[in-house]
Amino acid sequence: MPSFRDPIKSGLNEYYGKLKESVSGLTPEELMWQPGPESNHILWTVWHMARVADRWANSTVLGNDELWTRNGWAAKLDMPEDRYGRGETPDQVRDFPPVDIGLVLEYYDAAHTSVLAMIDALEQSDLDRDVFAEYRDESLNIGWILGHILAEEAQHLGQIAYIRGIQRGFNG
Amino acid sequence: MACVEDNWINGVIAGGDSVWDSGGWAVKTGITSEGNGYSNTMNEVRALPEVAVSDLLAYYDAVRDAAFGVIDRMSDDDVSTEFSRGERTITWGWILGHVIVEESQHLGQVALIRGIIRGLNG
Repeated sequence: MPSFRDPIKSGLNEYYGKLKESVSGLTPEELMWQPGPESNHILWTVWHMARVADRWANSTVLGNDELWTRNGWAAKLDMPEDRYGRGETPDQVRDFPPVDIGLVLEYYDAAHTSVLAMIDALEQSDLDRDVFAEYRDESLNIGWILGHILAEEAQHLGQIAYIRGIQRGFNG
Repeated sequence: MACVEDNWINGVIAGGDSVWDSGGWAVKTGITSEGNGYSNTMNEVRALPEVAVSDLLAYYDAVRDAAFGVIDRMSDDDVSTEFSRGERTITWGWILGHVIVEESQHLGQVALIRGIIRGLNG
């Protein structure tokens, strides 16, 4: 078995497990609280993280439609099909629809499962291959993408834990 | 963050001294407390001496150089090497994924704190 699979999958499962803990029990108000006027809130961040997982795995690497559109998640959340989060303004974050966190996490479960499946479908030689990420207008190496998914998602996870901690205190 | 990477990669995987110890970084930074910060209390966080960020980044650069050397010397089979941590058995492969995930969480926190202070893109 290619040696990259275990480290990447264990990192993915580690951050994803912590993500679910980090939002557990939060009220709708806590989920949408912003530590500063230009800060993201937890709900936006979780939604964006799910979009990130979905897009990298299904669209960028595998060249398929995202689960967001293909499996009707945009419709279930009543959100635009082209909404992704990258580069959004503070106004867009502040005006984010108060969608149900449970539904966002269902979408995220599907996206996370698809990322793991994507890893299992890759061979060592795939890591040297480039794919074109349309929304970034650049060619990216698949090996780079795998490390990047961990780095990007875990940064957002850290932000969520921090925002929760500001509201509820240490171990709150 | 730098200590975390140092301990896991240069310590646990390489099985050697941390760069913190071998490079005399306690003296260079004035940070004399033991450990890497894990489970520090708020008082311990507040008690950290004033250290120039440049000194910490110099330490981090040294850690990174050493860590990349360790990783480059790992074979494919090494990701399955096991290590006991208390009651848990973990693999070196787990360590690699974990270091990225733990460090990136802290990176996100650093960026958030900076953003609260300076605003978006500050």
